[in-house]
Amino acid sequence: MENRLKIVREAKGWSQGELARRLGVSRQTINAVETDKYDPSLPLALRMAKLFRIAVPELFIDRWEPEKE
Amino acid sequence: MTNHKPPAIVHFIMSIVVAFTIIAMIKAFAFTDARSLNALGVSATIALGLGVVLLLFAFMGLLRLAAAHAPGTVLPAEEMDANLERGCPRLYSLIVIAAMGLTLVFLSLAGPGGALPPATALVAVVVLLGIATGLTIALWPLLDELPRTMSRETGNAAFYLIVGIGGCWAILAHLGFVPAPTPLDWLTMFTVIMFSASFIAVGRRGLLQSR
Repeated sequence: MENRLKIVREAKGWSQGELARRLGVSRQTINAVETDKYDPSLPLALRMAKLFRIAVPELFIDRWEPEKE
Repeated sequence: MTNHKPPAIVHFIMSIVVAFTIIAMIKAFAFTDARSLNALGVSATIALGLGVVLLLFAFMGLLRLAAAHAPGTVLPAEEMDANLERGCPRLYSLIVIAAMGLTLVFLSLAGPGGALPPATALVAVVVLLGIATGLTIALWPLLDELPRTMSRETGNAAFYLIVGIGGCWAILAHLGFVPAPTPLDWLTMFTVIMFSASFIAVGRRGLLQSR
């Protein structure tokens, strides 16, 4: 899933390792999310959003739209 | 210094080539007391080859891991970080791979007419499987959600591969088209399939390069 993790991380001036440490995951996981090779679990996505003080949909972009009723 | 490094699959293929070259040389030139080695059947030869492949693969991984902790190392910086960050899980994984390789080596040499007494092989295999099981249990809490996800995907893929490959072989053997798989064939197949599934799970995420 397309995401803005790298952009918001770099805006904070954090390295992948620093973000991984703050979230309690490996740098490999952060790298895989940023390069769109892995969609994080809901708890990790929520933690990321909480850490950056933004909403999950601002971090992870889903272009799906519900049918208009 | 370039950051390009060979992916794990390249190491695995190198291990296969080297292992089967070693075994072919031993069989061809009858080094030492190789009569019992020459007496090995096809199943035992393949199991022995795979066992040596896994040992070589684990050995190469241990060398890279050790290099990351050694002063004056020549590894790319990114790989250094990865090895240092995940040193313990990697070490456990490599020991498990080596234990599985040794298990196949002992089993292949202990069949009918083999060089090893079955009781000796049984003790060795029980110890090795105990080590592998213990380390696998110890490894799980050290992993975060990405490797845990890939581990589950490996299990899923391995199940379907075993059903597909083992099932097809059993069907063909039942109908008399091919010889039935021996117990050693099944053990070799489990190991091959587990590693194939692992490469599939890691490769489909494009992460082979970073392993």
